[in-house]
Amino acid sequence: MFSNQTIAVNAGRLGVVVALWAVWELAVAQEWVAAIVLPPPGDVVSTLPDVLKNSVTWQAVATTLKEIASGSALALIGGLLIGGIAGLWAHVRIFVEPSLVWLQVIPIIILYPVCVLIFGLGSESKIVFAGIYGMLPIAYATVRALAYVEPGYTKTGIALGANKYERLRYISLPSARPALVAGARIGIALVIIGVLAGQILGSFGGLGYEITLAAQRLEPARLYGLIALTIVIIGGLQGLLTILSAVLGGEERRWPALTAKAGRGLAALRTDPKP
Amino acid sequence: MKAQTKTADASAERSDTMFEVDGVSMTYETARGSLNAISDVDLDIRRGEFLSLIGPSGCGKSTLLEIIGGMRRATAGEVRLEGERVSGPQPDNISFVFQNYSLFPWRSVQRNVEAGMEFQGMSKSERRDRARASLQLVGMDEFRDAFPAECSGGMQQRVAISRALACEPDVLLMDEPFGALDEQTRLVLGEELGRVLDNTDCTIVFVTHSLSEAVLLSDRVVVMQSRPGRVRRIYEVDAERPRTGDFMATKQFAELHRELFETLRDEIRTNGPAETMAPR
Repeated sequence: MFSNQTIAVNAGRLGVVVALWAVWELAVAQEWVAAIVLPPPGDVVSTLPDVLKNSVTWQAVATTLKEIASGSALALIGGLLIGGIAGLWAHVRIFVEPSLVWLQVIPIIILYPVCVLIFGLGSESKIVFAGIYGMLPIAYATVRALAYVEPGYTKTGIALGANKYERLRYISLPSARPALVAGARIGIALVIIGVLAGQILGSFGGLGYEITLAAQRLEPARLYGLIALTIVIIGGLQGLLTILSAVLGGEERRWPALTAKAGRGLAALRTDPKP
Repeated sequence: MKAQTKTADASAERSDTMFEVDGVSMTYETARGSLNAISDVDLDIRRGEFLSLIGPSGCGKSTLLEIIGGMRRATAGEVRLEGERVSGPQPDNISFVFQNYSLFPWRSVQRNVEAGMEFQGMSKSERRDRARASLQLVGMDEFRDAFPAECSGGMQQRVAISRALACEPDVLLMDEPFGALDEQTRLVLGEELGRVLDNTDCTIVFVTHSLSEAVLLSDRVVVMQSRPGRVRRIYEVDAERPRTGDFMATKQFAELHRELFETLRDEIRTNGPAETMAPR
């Protein structure tokens, strides 16, 4: 069952893809761009099987996913730890909270060469860099969520006889949960960007590295094939994370206002979104 | 008064006074200097009575209620509960119902009611049974698996009252519990509250803005004045509790309502509305 609106939206999306494809064909056929920069779409499609059959490609995929997983673990552990400490102790918070804001303002990618100097061109530099990059929003969300619990909840908890530990366990943490999940979602998205950027800027492996290599070797068909593959894999990963965060974060019955926001990403993934 | 005679019979030697509020003052230090929220309040609260605190905004009613319940420490004077100085919250003895944000949105109705008993270390089965019984009392048992966001404001306050009663307190302190509700719901809930509380020996202190609510529910109504907050006058409502809405049609109700209004009107005209609210 598809509503008219769903059909119209999906037709529009398909239309955009078809239009881009047509412009691409036309641009190559009319030699507006050199084939070495942008090969005909047909060439890219015909190289895809080669790209997918190549064991180097799958090694790069494995490296990338491993680095994303390790970087995310680092970001989550570090972010929750720093944010947790600063969120619970006001005298730590007064300098950690503004620092976290400022660190997110500077383009942290300029620190990547330092990471390479320290950790080398292997996976470690990617994991550390992406981990720190993703750690910042997680730490910030954690500080805010734990330090600024609705005072009414805390007051009620005190009146009901909750001790300090019980207030943390049964009031602060559950009330912070939607914000913590949202912070983790943003943090992991940054880890993914950090890993790919690191691989492109200086590394021995991974999808970012293979993409750079294809560009430098003037193999445009492989270049675009790898880009397409990366989009599919990372897009799928992001989609999974969106579903996961919607499930973990704002259950609709408890946090209807929050779920309305979080659900939008999820609804976009459904084939038949409810109007 | 009925509640009083009931308890007096039960234990003749026990004092008739539940709370003694003795020279309580509360001063806040603000950027503009010190603010005298409450000044030298003396008040005896009788065992088993329903006492309302009423007064203009910012007269310190809520602050006084929190001091009585041990949630805040007075800057001068003290509150004694059955002769013992109140120095902190007494969750097994004193229960609160607040106006806002008192239910935890991540817990079901039943788990909300269980919260206080859980913090006091009661076993799972016992607190479940008591929560069910308490929810039945306020007519919310069938909604026990719902979450607060799925309940109306009136239903949420029923749950908050049920949570307070589930702890079987001696004292129930209510800070404008129906303040966020419309007039009709507020009076219906008030009437039901009166009935529910008649089955307990609870001493109740009730902060409200509503004159009708105060007269309908209370044994005594304390009118406070602002800047600084003090007790201005205490009115007795000499009629059997619990009362139904019919009481509101009596001459006695109308006269008390008018008297209270006149006292408050004079108070507001003399002192003006309070400028500063107490910090949370």
